[in-house]
Amino acid sequence: MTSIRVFLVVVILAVFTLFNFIAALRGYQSSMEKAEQLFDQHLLETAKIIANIHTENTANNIDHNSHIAFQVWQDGRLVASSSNTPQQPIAALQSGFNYSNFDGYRWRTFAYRNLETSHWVLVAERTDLRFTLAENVILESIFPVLVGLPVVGLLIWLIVSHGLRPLRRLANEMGSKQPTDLSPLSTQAPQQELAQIVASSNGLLERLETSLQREKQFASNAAHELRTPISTLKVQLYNIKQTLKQGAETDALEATAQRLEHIVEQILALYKNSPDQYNARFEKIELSELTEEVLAEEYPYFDAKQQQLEFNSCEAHIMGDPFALKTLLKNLLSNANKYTPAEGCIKVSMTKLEDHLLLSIEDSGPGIDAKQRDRIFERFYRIDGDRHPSGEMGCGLGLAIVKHIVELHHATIQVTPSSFATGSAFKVLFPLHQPENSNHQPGTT
Amino acid sequence: MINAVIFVLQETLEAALLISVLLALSYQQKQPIHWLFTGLLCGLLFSALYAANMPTISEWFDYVGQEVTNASLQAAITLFICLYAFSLRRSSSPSPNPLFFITATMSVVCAITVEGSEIFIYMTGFFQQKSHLQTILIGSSIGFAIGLSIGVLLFYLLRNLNNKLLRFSGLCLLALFAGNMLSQATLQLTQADWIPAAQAVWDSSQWLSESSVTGRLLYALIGYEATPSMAQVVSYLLGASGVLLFANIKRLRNPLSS
Repeated sequence: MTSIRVFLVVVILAVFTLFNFIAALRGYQSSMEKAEQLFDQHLLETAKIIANIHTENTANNIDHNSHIAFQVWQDGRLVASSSNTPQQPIAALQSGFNYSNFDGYRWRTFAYRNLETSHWVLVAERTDLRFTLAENVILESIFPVLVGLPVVGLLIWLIVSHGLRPLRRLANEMGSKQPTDLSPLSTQAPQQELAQIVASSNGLLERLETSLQREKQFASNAAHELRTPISTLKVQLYNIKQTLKQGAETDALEATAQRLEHIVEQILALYKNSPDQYNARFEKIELSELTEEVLAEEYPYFDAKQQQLEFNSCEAHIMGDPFALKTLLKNLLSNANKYTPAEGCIKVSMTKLEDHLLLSIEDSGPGIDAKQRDRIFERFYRIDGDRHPSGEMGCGLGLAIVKHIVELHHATIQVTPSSFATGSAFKVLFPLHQPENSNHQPGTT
Repeated sequence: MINAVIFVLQETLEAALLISVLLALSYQQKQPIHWLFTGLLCGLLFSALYAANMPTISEWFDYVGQEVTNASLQAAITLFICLYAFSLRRSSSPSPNPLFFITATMSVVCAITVEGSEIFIYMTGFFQQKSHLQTILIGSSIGFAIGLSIGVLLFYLLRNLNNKLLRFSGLCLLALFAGNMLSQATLQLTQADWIPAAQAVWDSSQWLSESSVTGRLLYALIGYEATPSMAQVVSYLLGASGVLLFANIKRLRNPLSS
C-alpha cells in the first residue's frame, strides 16, 4: 500500500533538492565568473598604481609565497620587480590580460603601458589562489543550503503531516463507525478538498439507511405475511385431516407445511441475528440459568426419543443478548436431539476458564466428518444434502444462525468429536463478564 | 567543485536510473523489493573491496586489470538486464519469481560495484589533500543529491503510468542502459588494447562535446559518445536490442499468448 505522506514528502524534497542545487550550481558558476572579473579589475588597478610609483628597486618584501608579482620594464631593461619574478618578462609586452607560468605556478597576468614614462608594468596573480579564494567565499553561501536539507526534509514531513490531518481524522471517523451506525459524518468546517468526499459519503449513508429501513420493513412485513397464511394452512389441514380421516396424504401435507413454517422462521432468525443487522441489547446473563430454561422447554423432544440428558453447569456471567442466546441454545440442542438416535446420550456442560466460559453440547449421534466441519456453518449447507441419513427435517440454516450469534457475542465455536463413542461436540467459548472490582468465586450446580 | 559534482552525479545517475526502473517494474509486477536492499548492501560492500584492492587489480592482465574487470562487470550488467527482461511477466502476479529477484539483485550489485568503486577511488584521492576536502565533499554531496532526486522523480513518474506504458517505458530505458553498459565495456576493452582502436564513425563534438556538462549527463543517461567507434555502436545496438528481444521472447515463441 502506498502512503500519500511518504509520496508527498519524498517528491517535494526531491524537487526542492533538484531545483535548489541546480540553482546553487548556476549561482556558483556566475559567482566564479564575477569573482574572476573582480580579481582582473584588482590586477589592473594594481598595475596602474605601480606605474605611478617611480621606483627602480627590487621589492624584496614580496616573497616567493606571495600571490602577487610585478615587473617594470623600460626599453627592454628590467627596472623594478618583486623578488618572486624571473629576469625575463613574466608576460608578453602587449597590453591586456593573459596567463603565464613561472615560479612553479600558473599566473594570471596583466600588461600595462604607461605612455608618459614609456614603462611596461607587468603584474601577475596566482590563479590557484584566486580560484580557491573565490570558491571559498561562494561555498560559504552554498554550505547552508546543503546542511539545511535534512531540516527542510523534517519541515516538509511536519507540514505534510499537518496538512493530511483532516484526512486522517475523516478516515478514523469512518473506521470507528459501528456496522449499524449510518449516521452522517461530521461536517464541521471540512476542508474544500474533503467537503466533496464528506458530502458524497453522507449521501451514500443516507441512501443506505433508507434502503436498510426498507429492507427491515420488508422483513417485518414478510414475517407477518408469510406466517399468517402458513398458520391458516395448518388449521385448514388439521380440519381436512379430521374430516377425511385419511392419514397418509394429509400427514405428508402437514409435514410439508411444518417444514415451510420452519424454513420461514429460520430465514427470519438468520436475518435478525446477522451481526450487521442485529440491534443487540446486551445485559449480564447467568448462562446456566438460561440453559436450564431452554432445556426445560426442549425436554419433551428429548423425552419423545427417550434420550439421556446430562447437564453440568457452573455459575458464570457473560454479557449477551438473552433472545439471541436462547436461539443459539435451541438450535444446538435441536440438532443434538435430531441427529442422536433414540435412547442415545446428550451432554450439556459449562466450564469456567480463566476469563472465558466454555459451553459444550455433545451427542452420541453419527458424528461429523472432519472435512465437513467448516462447511456446516454455511447457509443452506446440509451434510449429504437432502439425503441426510437421519431423514430429519432441516433447511441448513440452524448452524449459520448459531455462527451469527457467536460472532455477535465475540465468542468462538468449534466442532470436535464428542466424548462418547460416536458423535459430535459443539464447543462455544464466551468471554466472561468482567465487572470492575470483581471478586466472585466459581461454583457448580 | 563543479568537477566533483559532475563526476559523482554521472556515477549516481547511472545507478539511480537503473534502480528507479527496476523498482517501478517490481511494483508493476507485484513482486517484493527485497532485492533492492540486498543489491545495495552487497554492491556497496563489493565497491569498497574493489576500490581498496584496485592497485592489485590494475596489475592483472599486464596492467589492464581495471579496464578488463570494469568491462566484465558492465557486460554482466547487460546480461542480467536481458535476463531480467525475460523474467518479466505480461500479467502481474504476486507469486514468487526467483529469476526476477536474482537478476534484479545481480544488476544492482554489479552497477553499484562499478559506479561506487569509482566514487570511492575519487574520494580517497582527495582525502590525502585536506585543502580540497571540504570542496570535494560539498560537490560530491550536491552531485549525489541531484542524482538521487532525478532517480526518485523518475521512479514516481514511471509509477504513475498505466501498466502497459510503464512496461514499455521501463523496457526502453533498460534497453538504453544495457546498450550504454555494453558500449562502455567495449570502450574499456579498446583502452586495454583488447579490441583494436578504430576510426570514429561520426564526430558530433561540434554540436555537443562529451566533456561539456550536458554531454557528460547524456553519457550517464543514454551513453552519449561524440566520437564512437564502430565496435561501440555495434555493442550499443546489441545491448539495447538484446533487452527488447529477451523481453518479447515468450511472445515470439507463442504468438497467441496475450
